[in-house]
Amino acid sequence: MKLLQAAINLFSSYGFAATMILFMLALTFFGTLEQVDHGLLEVQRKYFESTFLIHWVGPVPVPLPGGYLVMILLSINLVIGGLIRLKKNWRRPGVLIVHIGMVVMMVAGFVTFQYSQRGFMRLYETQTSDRVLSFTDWAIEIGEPGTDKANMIVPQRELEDLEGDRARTFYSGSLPFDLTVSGYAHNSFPVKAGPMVAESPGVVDGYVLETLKLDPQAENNIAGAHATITDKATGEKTEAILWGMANYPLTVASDGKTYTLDLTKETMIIPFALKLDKFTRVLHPGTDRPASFESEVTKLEGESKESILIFMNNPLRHEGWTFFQQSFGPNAPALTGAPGEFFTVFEVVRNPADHWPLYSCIVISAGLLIHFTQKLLKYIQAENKRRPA
Amino acid sequence: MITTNPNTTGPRRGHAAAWCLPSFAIGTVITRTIAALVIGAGLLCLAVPASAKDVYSAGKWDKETIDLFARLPIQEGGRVKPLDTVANFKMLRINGMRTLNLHEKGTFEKTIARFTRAPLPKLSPMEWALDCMFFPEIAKDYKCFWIEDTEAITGIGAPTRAKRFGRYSYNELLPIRAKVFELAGAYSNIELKDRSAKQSQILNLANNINEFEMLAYFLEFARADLSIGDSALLARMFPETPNPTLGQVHAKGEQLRTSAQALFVLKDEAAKAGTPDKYKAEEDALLGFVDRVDNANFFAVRSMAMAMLPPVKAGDSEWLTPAMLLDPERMMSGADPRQAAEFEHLASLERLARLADNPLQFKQEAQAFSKFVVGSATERGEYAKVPMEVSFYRAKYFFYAQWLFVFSFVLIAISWLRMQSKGLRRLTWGAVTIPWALLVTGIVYRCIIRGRPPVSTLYETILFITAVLVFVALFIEFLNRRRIGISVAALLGWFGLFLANKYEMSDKQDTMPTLEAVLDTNFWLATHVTIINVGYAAGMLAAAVAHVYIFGKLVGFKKDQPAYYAEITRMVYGIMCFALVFSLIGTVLGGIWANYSWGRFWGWDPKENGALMIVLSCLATLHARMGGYVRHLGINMCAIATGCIVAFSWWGVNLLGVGLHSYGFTSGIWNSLVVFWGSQALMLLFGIAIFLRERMGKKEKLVGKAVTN
Repeated sequence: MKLLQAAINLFSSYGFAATMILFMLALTFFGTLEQVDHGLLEVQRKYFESTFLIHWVGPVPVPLPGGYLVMILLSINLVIGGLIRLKKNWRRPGVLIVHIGMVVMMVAGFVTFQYSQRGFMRLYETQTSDRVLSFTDWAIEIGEPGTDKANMIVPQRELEDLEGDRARTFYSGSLPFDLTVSGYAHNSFPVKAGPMVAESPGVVDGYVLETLKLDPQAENNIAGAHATITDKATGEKTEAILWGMANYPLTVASDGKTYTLDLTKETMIIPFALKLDKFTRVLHPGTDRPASFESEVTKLEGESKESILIFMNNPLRHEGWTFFQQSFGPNAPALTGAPGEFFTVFEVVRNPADHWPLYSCIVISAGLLIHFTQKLLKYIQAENKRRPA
Repeated sequence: MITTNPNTTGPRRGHAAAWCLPSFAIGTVITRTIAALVIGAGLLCLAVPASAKDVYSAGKWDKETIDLFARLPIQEGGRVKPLDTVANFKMLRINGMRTLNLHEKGTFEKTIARFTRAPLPKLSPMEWALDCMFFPEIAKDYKCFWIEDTEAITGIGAPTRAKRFGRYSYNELLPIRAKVFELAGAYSNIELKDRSAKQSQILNLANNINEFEMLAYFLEFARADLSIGDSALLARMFPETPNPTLGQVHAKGEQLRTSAQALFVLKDEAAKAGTPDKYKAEEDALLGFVDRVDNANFFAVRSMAMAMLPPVKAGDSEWLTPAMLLDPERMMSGADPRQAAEFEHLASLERLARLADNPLQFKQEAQAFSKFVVGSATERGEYAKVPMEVSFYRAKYFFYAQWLFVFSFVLIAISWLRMQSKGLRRLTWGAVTIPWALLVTGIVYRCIIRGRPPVSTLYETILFITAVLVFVALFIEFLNRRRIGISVAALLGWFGLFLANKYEMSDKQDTMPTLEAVLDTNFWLATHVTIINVGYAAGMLAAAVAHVYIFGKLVGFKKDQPAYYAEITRMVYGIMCFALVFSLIGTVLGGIWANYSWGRFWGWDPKENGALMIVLSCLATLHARMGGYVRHLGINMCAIATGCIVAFSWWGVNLLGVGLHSYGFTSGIWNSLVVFWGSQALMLLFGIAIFLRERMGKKEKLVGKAVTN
């Protein structure tokens, strides 16, 4: 019991709060500096979504608690020290209100981290889609040409450990073949095999997948993998290279049918579709800097159609999904054969805690204003007493 | 006395007028020399030579003409602004300052001039720009290219200078022009962070040469000789002038083509009739004319520096440069009849270029051109803020405020010696309030001109934060009357405006740019950006007041008055609470804006992290205080550390070059930041020294007590 009391005393103490806040401060500082060399995604995983980490100050390793752990401990401190054990009286209502707001924000952060989904949708004018692609995660989709439904999807979490010779075979009852994947690379480019590697196992049709250094901008990495397709009936093996930016999916004929294998960004299917009617880009006159860009879309849901305008700071929200006008492209002149001059890019998010930070902000602001206004009035009273009239 | 030019009706310089300039300069020098003799400067003054290169051009444009051009609207960088602003920043980029001193005679003559109160020959940006446009051959001799380290160019053939830095004229740089552009081409492939100072300087110089040429050759097409000679055909086509302008030729392009075709048919017929030379003279005259037009077209292509011509067609947002109207490829098909009005404006501009040698006619034409352009811009609703912007820059609110803050600080320093003087106390209040009011007026002026809340660029953050700092410091002074708040207000007011000026001088770009699409929302600019900047201001103010504590303790100021230091700590604590309120609310509002713009509340972007770090630093300090881990000295040291974090968030993250807040990137301030952090580290070391000293003092007291007992 004494131990429990000591633990409660520790976790609810000001010292513990100050220590955790300082750890968070250090993590934020190091995580900010590290983004220059390692990019946001890697830094986010290492510093802010981890439980422990080693930060290198030159050649010196510095062990630190990860952001995830620090935030959990801070939340515990906040609940025990800032809500439960806090003296509740009318002299200090602001502090309690601030802490309630902070708890709401922490919960919002946790819900967002655990349950939100995010991706992007890219559309040329007249194109319609109900698919949202991940920014960074890849998947192998196996399907039949002309159909939307995939027979099998292998997500990135099943692939990312298959580096080098490590291989994994994926089976599906709906497919007449098995798929074995190896040599998965997060960032890659297929190159012609030189004389030194011509006979190595990764070479397919004179090409080999070269692993590239990771781009700090994780969205720019293009995954690749080596695939072996084994026909279930004949045992015949077909070797192939799957690459994220391939112009066409790989086609395989088996059991009298044709199948496509595509290494593509992980896809989410949303319960309605968007059709881009018109994309408008307005430049600041005499410059090539966009002053604004907006997309006129039609939301298609069953039989219903609705025209909507999406532009910067004015997203479309529907059934828990939010579409933000993120960017447009291409930056270079449109490619020959492209369906239009420009495409629009929507960032698509599904976040159950979408508006919670706003609510917490209102609560925190109110609490801070009450608390510090009280403090200021007290200070003014003291000063008035000190100074002769 | 120096005799100034008696003719005040217009420009008095030109290709012909320039011949009289050396004698004028000699006269000036002699007058100064005599004056210097009178005041006993000695016969050495006679040694001041006046070479043929001495060009004394200041004051040649009368005030009215300068005003006329200063208020001309130009579209640049996506907005309509006065030519005055364009000239200001062009001169700043090329010359490194907003005044061009034409004398190259070193400090000796300057000293004499100070004694004689003779005006030094200086050009304002507008005068310089007008010289470049209308008298480019003279402007090419102005030493207006500022080179910070001349070694960067002397190695490739530029003349050496006595000092490490110096100014060069365009004509001096002309021999190395090709080499500079060649090197700049190679250096531009090197990433910004990997470029050496020399490489950056060559790149800057190449840009500056290009910018100067764009200005100097802007009206070269209009000055081109397009005399029609003895051609009867051309005389019929241009009955009003024997030397039409390029705009007139373009306007009659189609007629020129059909006439030439008709001439060639006639020539063929004459050849068949056995008189092949019948039209030869006409043909030669026509071909000669076409050659001259080709040459002028070449210059017309370069006249893209300034979009001076408002489009007449409703709905067109882009203003026109002469180059856009004088498209050589479209010339032979004739000018677009829908652009007749624009061609009229262009013709006026061309006449101006040709009338530069005739002051009276030049001024009349300038008035006509101004009337055209201002009228069109007014009709389009784009002119209203142009004169306001000219007035804003001429009023120099921030310049005067900066020096008034210095004056007020001196006054406050005097008041420290006479603490009881009520009159002096009131005077110091006025002395700080006036520059603060000037600063606020300048900010309000900018808000009206831009139609934006006070902060939307990095430059504006400095102005706004300074205004908030001074206001909060004065508010504290109002509450406790301890002369600390008002002293800090004056000092930070001066320092903030010094920083703003330094930033403007190093950035050298228009401080009222158009905004990125994501920033085009006055609601969030007015809420998140403004509030977070109030947070920055409070963080900085807490650090500044904490310096008073550390310095005071270090030098033993009022060491027998612990209440004085307790009061400083209370102030620092109060300001940190204020910083926490605004940083936290501002940061959360930023997250909400990001949630509405990009779909996520928090993205660990460097700028977001910077704001969070300020919040965490304030929170850590307040919790440590509540827990009793820090007291007076500790709180002050925490405030100084928070000041370092504010500097990192405000400026440091912009140097990283990563993140979504790419519109805030800047460069070239790394050294200043390192100096700031170094000085703050020193303050923290002083803090530690004070802590150790006080601890030892306490121990000694205890030992002393024990011995006594």
